[in-house]
Amino acid sequence: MKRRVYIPIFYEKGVESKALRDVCAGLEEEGVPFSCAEDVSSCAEELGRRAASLSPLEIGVGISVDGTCTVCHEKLPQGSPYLVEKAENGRVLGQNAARLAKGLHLLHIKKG
Amino acid sequence: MPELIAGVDIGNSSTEVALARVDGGRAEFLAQHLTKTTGVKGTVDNVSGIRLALKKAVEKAGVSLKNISRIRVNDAVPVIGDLAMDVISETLITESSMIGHNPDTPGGAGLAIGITISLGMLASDTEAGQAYIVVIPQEADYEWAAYKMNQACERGIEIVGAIAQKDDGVLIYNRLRHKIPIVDEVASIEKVPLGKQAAVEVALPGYVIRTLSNPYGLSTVFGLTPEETRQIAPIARALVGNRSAVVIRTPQGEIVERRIEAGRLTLYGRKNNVSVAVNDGAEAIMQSVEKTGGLLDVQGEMGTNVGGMLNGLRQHLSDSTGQPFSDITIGDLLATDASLPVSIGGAMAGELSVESGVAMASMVRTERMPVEKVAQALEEELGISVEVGGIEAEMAIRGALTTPGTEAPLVILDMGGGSTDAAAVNERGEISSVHLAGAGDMVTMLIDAELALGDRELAERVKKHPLGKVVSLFHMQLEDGTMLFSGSPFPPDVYGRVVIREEGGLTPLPANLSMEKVREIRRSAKRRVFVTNALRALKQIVPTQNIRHLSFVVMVGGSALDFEIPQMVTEELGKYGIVAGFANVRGTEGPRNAVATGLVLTAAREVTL
Repeated sequence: MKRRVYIPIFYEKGVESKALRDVCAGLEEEGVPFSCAEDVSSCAEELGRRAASLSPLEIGVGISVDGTCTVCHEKLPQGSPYLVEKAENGRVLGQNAARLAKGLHLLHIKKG
Repeated sequence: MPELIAGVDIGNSSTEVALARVDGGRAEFLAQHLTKTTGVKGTVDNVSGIRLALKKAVEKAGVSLKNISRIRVNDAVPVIGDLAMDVISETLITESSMIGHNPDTPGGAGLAIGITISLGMLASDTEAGQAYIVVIPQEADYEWAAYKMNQACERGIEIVGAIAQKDDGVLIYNRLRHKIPIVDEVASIEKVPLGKQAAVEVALPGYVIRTLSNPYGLSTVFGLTPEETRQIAPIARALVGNRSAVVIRTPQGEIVERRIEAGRLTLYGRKNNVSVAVNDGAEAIMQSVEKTGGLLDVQGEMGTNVGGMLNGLRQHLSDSTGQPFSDITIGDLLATDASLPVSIGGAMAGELSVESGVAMASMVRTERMPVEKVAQALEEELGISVEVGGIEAEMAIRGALTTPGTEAPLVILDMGGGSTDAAAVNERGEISSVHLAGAGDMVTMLIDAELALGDRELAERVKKHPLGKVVSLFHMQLEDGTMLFSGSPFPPDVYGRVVIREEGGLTPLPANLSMEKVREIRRSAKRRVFVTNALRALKQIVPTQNIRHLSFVVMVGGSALDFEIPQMVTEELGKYGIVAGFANVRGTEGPRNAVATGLVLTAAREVTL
């Protein structure tokens, strides 16, 4: 059976819907499939790490209620999310999660 | 009685010291050190650098500065080099009329021709039977933009393409019921003229646009006359190789390629005076330099680019040597063609066009360097007797001859930062030398300009170190295609990028540069300067002018330490049957320390005599 590949996005209950929407838009713009799931309450890094450990692409995204977004990789040790951003940069974080999967250089957060 | 002697070589960029115990004509080398030259070569500012180098050398040797009985300083060659570069062609868009760029993720694919219209006007200002290209500003959310366009479609309005300011081409595309090509990330979207005929083309991933990069494609799209086609041809050329593009036809708008009046050079020589137009390119200039039979001076036509360039050079040299402006004469010139990426005036998405340019290195003969003053200052400061010993070329040859497997007659190529020097010694021990413009600094300038880095420091590092491309969290591809595994993950700032591999770590380069391109420009810059100069220098120094009559060529100097320059020269000279390689001074020092070593050895010989 063909296994579907995607990047899981684990978020806490009560996360701002705009943050989630932005992260998803970033992934969609880059053309990488994703799937969202609400997970038990924990910090953004823990969410991202759990997502990564279940991810067919070894990459996972976590979003916590406080608006922190992380991109984690299964191969990286605990306590070291690869990327951390605030919710307002969700779009770029989503894009970068996808670009990590594609092997493309990452985008900088535009200042100002 | 044994004597401790230090040889000091003050170069344009580095100061080198060799420390040896000399006893009855035999020199036993104890230590050496290399440091940056302080101040302009041949000025009293050099003293602090020399003192530092000496201190380090005695430390290494385990002796005290006081034990040194004599310091020998080289008689520096009185030449100084300088660089200049300018474009000789220029592409101008008098009215904004094209967008050609490579967003990572444009939407859809295909070619669309229609009238530009803003998203806001879609509801009111449209007529049936007309094809439209929608211009979407960044204020418009992708959901909203897609909704408005779908709505218009339902009303029967024909939307064939779109131009978006933000990076959401794919997002909009995914939400459209009627699929169209979309070019996104157009920064200055407000410059896109509305109500004008335009064409949007997006190629499939891995392909490049075909219609808008073809002059006849453009003439077909816009129904142009032969005269108009000729005018629009530079647009097509500027769009070649892009994945997506927009061309907007504004009646008065045109793009022109202008040949800048770069001016003429007048070369005054021993045999002939030759005049050459800079627009003829570097090859013609270099042929003219050869025709002069030995360059005496160069003048640039007043009021032109090259005139300004040469005057700038003279001014700079006059400032740094303290000689009057009118006394500066250019003794050698190395010109090379350069492809310079320049941002196009009136561009809407930061497009660059590659213009042709000429880079020039020139060398100026100055009056004798006041090395005696440096020697005096050094003597006063350290309380050790300092002497100025011998001609630099002779010292360098003496040092180079300590390379195992060499013998006179031989030629040394001193490849430094500011100039390329050659010295030859024949069977009778007679020495001759030449000094040519163009060396390591020119390579750096070319790399900086051709990669549009705008950072001399970064260009210097590109020159000195090999590249890699980080392809995953744990893998890096090297220039030769091999993969390097890393035990710890690469940080986000280098992920997916071309990097400079230094001992200290990785330095990322701008994302638009590919490893192949950077490598090609780096190698070609080195070849254009050092291979060209090696051949020029050898031709001038061989009495017969036929470099096949040489057998040994030894490379010394900072640029001989480069990881690829010596191989390039070895390869090229190999074609003439010459044994060429970089020196290994005293069998241990590599291409460094030749002059300092030569200074000490000369002193040792004087002892025996």
